[in-house]
Amino acid sequence: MNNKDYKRALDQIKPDHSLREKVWQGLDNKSSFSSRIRIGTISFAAIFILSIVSLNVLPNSGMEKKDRLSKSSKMEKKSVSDEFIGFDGTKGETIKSEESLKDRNFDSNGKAKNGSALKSSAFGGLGNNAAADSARSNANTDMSIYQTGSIGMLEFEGKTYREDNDNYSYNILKLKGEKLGTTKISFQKGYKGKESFKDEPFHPNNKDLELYPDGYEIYSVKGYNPEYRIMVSGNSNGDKWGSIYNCFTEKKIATGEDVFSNIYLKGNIKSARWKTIESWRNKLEVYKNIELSTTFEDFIDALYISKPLPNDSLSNSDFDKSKILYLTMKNQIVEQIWLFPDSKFVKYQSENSYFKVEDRKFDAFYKTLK
Amino acid sequence: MSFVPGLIKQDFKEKYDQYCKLIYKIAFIHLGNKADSEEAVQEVFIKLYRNAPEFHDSEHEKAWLIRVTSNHCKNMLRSFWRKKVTQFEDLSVYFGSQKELENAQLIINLPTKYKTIIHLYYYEGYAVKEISDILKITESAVKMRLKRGREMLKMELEGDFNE
Repeated sequence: MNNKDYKRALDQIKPDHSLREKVWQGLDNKSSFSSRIRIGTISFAAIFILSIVSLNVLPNSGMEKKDRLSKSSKMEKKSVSDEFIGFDGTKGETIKSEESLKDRNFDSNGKAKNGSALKSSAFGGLGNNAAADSARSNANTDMSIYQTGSIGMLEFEGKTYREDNDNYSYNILKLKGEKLGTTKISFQKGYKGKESFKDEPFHPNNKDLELYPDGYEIYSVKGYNPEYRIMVSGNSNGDKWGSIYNCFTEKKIATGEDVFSNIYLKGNIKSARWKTIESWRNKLEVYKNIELSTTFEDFIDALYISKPLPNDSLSNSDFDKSKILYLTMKNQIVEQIWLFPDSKFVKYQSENSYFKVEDRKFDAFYKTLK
Repeated sequence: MSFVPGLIKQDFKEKYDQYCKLIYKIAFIHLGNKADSEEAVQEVFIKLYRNAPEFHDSEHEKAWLIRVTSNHCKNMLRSFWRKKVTQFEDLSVYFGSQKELENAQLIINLPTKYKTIIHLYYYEGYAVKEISDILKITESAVKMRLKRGREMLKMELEGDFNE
């Protein structure tokens, strides 16, 4: 290859004429953003905030009274009170207990119970949260918000929360619960000098950093246990926004219930849509509605008893046939679930978690997606 | 609600026409497919309108866009999920000959750290010092990566890296 060959090859790479309008629409109308863009927008900002979560307020989960996060040794404890609205519209009560959330359990309807929703460490694990693993391997432990690709990561209370790409908007703020903390610009300790980070896009000497404000606030999400779901909120051009972050795979997962019960799928889905992988790849907002039929309900039931598995057995053709479900909950949160028809796997998008669903129920539901 | 208050389409159109090809090409050599490259373009323009500093001149603005594009693409590439779902695009549709396709694949397959530098030097015509300023790395690092990148591309390129 010579330099003319290089130029000739690169000359062939041109953006489509339609791209200008797409970009313009994205700039002009927030609602036209694809989910992938939404991920990137907030995540790209988030990575620049190499933050330490500085908490001076103890959290209230919002799902049930007495919810309380266990605090790290760095964090000052304090009682708080707040009201919350659960799926059933009930309000919460004043929080007085210092009880740790780790002592709290919830059933699939969001009600506290004495069961073992949180104490599943004795069971087999998912062991395949590659994105989170990658993030950890790349991240300094002092970094609280970071990113793998365009997936935002938030380290909070010693756990890694992963950004929920379908729930970044201004509207999501109505689910904002108790303030849990505030991010601060706090660069990693232990830098080995400027040179060692010269290739890193986010090292302190990179001038891009100064473009981003600190002060992202972390909140509980009304109706959810902050062990699993929190909200990061910020301000863009005077407009507040919120972004949901989830943490479902820090604990060992025995069945799908360990994840799906904590997003309260059963009985709380208001509507459902799906799109093809082609639409997803091309960022097309082309959806088809799903009837909330018995077949659908059976499929949701099957999710709860699905088995967590590594995604190694997924083939490229399985990805090519995949369909993506968008389940809008009664509280307007959207849950995204991918279906892989060859393997009968589903993937809960928020956590990059794969589950094997019973063949018959998977097939019956998949056939309805036409 | 407007995402970018006060943004006028004509202003955007001028910026887009001025920089889109540059951003898209850098994105494409990093990401290797149309969908992700388009997404990167959109992200960079969002950053330009939401977060850009005041630029001294158009060269300053261009340099900022190059750096932001390069950094953004590097982060996109770190995503496990993105790697998994974006590996299927047939590049042959973009190129008129097998040789062009092979050359493009060589370029796209370069290690990330060499791509932007090679592109800025051999396509955009920047000098080593300018690349050093744009990407905030030392001139010696630029020269080294140019040398190694050229070796990987088996390039018979002109230039002693000192212009």
